[in-house]
Amino acid sequence: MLRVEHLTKIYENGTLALDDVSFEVPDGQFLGVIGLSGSGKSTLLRCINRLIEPTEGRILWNDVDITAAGQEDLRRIRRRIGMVFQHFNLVDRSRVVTNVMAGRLGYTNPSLSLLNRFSSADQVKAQESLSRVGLADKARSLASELSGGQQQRVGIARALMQDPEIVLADEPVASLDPVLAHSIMQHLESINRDDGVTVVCSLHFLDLVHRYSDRAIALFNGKLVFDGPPHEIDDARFKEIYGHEAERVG
Amino acid sequence: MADSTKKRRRLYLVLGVVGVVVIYGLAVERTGVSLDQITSESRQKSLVRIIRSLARPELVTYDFEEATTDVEYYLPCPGAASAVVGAQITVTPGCGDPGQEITIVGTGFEPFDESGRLQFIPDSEFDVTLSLGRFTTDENGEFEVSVTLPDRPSEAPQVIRAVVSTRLGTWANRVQVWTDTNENGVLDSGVVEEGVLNVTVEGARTEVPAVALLDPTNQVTEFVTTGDAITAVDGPASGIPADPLAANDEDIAVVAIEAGSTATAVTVRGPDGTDLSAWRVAVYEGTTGAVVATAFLGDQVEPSPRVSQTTILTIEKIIDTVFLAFVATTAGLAIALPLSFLSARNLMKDVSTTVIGLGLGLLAIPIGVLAGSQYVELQRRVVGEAGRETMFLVLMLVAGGAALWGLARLLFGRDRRSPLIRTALMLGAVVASAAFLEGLYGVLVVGGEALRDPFGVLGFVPGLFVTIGEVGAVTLPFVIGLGGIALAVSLANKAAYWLNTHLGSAMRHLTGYLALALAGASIGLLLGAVVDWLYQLANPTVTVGLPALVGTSWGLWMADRGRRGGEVRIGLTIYYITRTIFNTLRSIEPLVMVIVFVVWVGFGEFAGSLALALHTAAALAKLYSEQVESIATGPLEAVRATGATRLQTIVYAVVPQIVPPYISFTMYRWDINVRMSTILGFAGGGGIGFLLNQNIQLGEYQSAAVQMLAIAIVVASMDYASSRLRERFT
Repeated sequence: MLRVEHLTKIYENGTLALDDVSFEVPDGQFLGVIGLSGSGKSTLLRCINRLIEPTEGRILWNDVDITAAGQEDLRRIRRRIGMVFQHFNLVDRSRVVTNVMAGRLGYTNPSLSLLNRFSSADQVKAQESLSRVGLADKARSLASELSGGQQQRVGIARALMQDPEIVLADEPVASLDPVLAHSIMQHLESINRDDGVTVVCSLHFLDLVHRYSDRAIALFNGKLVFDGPPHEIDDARFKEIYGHEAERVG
Repeated sequence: MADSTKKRRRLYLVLGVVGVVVIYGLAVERTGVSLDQITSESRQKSLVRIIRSLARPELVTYDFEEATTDVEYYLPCPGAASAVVGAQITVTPGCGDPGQEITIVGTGFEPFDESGRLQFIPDSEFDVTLSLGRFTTDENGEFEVSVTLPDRPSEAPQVIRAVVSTRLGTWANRVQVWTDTNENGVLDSGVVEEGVLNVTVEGARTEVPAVALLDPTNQVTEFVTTGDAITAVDGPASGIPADPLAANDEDIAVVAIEAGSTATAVTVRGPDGTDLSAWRVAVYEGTTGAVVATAFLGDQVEPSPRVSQTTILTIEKIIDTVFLAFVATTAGLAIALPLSFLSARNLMKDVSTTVIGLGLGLLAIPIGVLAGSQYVELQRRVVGEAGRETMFLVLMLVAGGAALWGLARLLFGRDRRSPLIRTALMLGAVVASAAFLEGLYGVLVVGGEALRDPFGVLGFVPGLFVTIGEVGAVTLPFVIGLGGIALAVSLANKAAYWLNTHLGSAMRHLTGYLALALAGASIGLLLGAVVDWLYQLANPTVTVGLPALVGTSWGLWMADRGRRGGEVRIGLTIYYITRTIFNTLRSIEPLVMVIVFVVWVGFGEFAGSLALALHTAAALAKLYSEQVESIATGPLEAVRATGATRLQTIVYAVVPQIVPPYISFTMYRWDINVRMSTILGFAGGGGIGFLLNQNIQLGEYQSAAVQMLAIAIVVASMDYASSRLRERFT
């Protein structure tokens, strides 16, 4: 159970990115987060694993206060939270397998991992993760040699290495060809359905939300404006979420 | 409204123009721009002379053959004489007064542009020649030159001479030129034939000669006498007692000495074909032991033209220079590499710690470094004299290494251990490293020294080991001190973590205030000690009381800030401190730094490389850290999100992104360093600049030109090579 209570984030330049946001995510749910660009979706996801420090409010995960954790505890929390990014965030000049291995850093002895030494169990695990996303044969390639869709699959394999209980996916398909979107979303769906991992996924396209998520929340200017099943988003709600000039496509 | 704006703009324009004129006026005035200097004839003459010399680098040396033709000349005139006619030159008038202009006409020289010198040889007991001028022949091999007579009146006839110097040989057809090195008028080959070599030492007049034989390194291999036993009182054999002749059974030895009226003949035996021309004999007066004369066993025969001594020296020095730049770049790189991360804003801005963590950490640093270095001293005292025994050093190396290996395996093993056991293991590892490194450095020094002779000309390879060992031994207290810091800070972190989680809020704040106040006071005392050392104030109020007070208040202030914000952001503080240090160091030119280092370690390449290394460290740290600041942040965020530590994040997300630009920057810096090292010699930093400076000071522009040429070639080729290599890494 992930509980977000009265979360507020004000950036140093005064921008109010999140305004008193509260919601709960039961274990095993696929939660879609929708809203315009700049509505606070990315900030919300990054506050959950504290890549961004919240200004106010609490985030409780299995009754542990993430927002109050010290650095060492935060590392232990982060390693159970996988993250998938819009721009994949792979290290271009490293090999695919090294990028995937990076997902295991939270579990390895710091001194040994600095020498790029991983246990054989971890190495087997990396191969398995890559096989799962269909990239077993690309392990030795450089990340930069892969196509966008393939890079995102490496990003998912990296998250899988963490044995995550939650996966935060920040616009995972926004910089991909629309035809590739479903392939990526299906991998996330499989992690959610087959492994029972909670997925919090921000998305642009409403049809993807309809298709994949159990539940949706919507942000508008940092405020939570909708929380419910995706099919409840009718035209009126749509205008509320995306502004009055928006029109539904597709 | 618009009108007044227009007027104001016009006023600004006028003021601007006036300002620019004033600035340029001052600039011209202050820089001493002067057309008079540029156009003055004497200045132009010297310019032409220098440029012509520079255009003729003395790459090769020619020997010259001189042909002279003389006429006798009276100065002042004893009577009227219309002209004196010599074999090839005619002087009109035939005698003259000091300062008078005379005409010299030459005939029968080689036609077309043969040039030569005209000299006046005055009546003097010394070997003096005065230059009258130069001449150049026309198409008939004739010339006519007006010259001024010098102020050298004499009753006796004096001489006017025309000298033509001819270069001997060409590259296609080199000639061997004999130089009478031992000045005995005979061409001595210096090569042993039929078991013996004879040499006559001119000027060695003695009834009872004694002879010292010197090898090419100036070592006396034997000292033999034909008379009674004596001891040399001076000269190369000073203090050595003479043996009877032929008592020596060396391969190369004096076998016969024959005294003559003006010279002494010495016979040396040796294996057939051995060239002894670099060996010397010193002839002594066999009754007093005083040296009479020395001479080489052979004469020098050199080809003309040949590669000049300047060229050889320049090549040696330019190689030194490139190595100087190389050493400086490497040392600077080693310093800049770790520090570049500390001066990268994007990595440092989030670094924060709790108040207690900061306080204990700051306290731990001096304690750690002190404990570490003291431990090395203690180890050295305990080991004592045994530390010079090779066997004991090997024992330390092996035992320390084995212990270190075992501890590292335990420490890096898979099993999780309690923090206390881990700390104990780390302590053990530091202790084992101290023994291991001490042993290693000792073995390097002993082994290197032992191998230096067997390696012969390659002796610099073991020499490197000796240097590494010596430098290592000197820096060992510092290195173990770093280990001590790591240990103490890790302990402090654990303690801080425990205190933060176990103490109540009030106690936590109290501990925080206390720890930071103590830390502040100790920093203050440390700075106070530095100030005291620097200015020798001997005033405890200023050097102890005040710093402690300021430090304590700073600590309390920091703790107060941290109490409100929860954590103290120390990252930016470290960032600003390192940045400031680097910027300061970078703004001091290596040429200036070298002056300080020359005072410290003396003239030469070492001072130069130290100065250059320091500057390189600062410059590279800036370039590197800017590179770190410009990396893609996405991967950084992604790796941080996996729960990686800060160090892991750097290794996995930062390092792969910066390796190519780091290589590129390092090469660029080496390129710059080669350029800089060429002028470090002007300030005593060794390298080719030293030679160049010397030759310019002596007015040897043709030699200076060789060095300039070498610098140009090396810098241009480094430039080319580094830009080609850098292309691959960007």
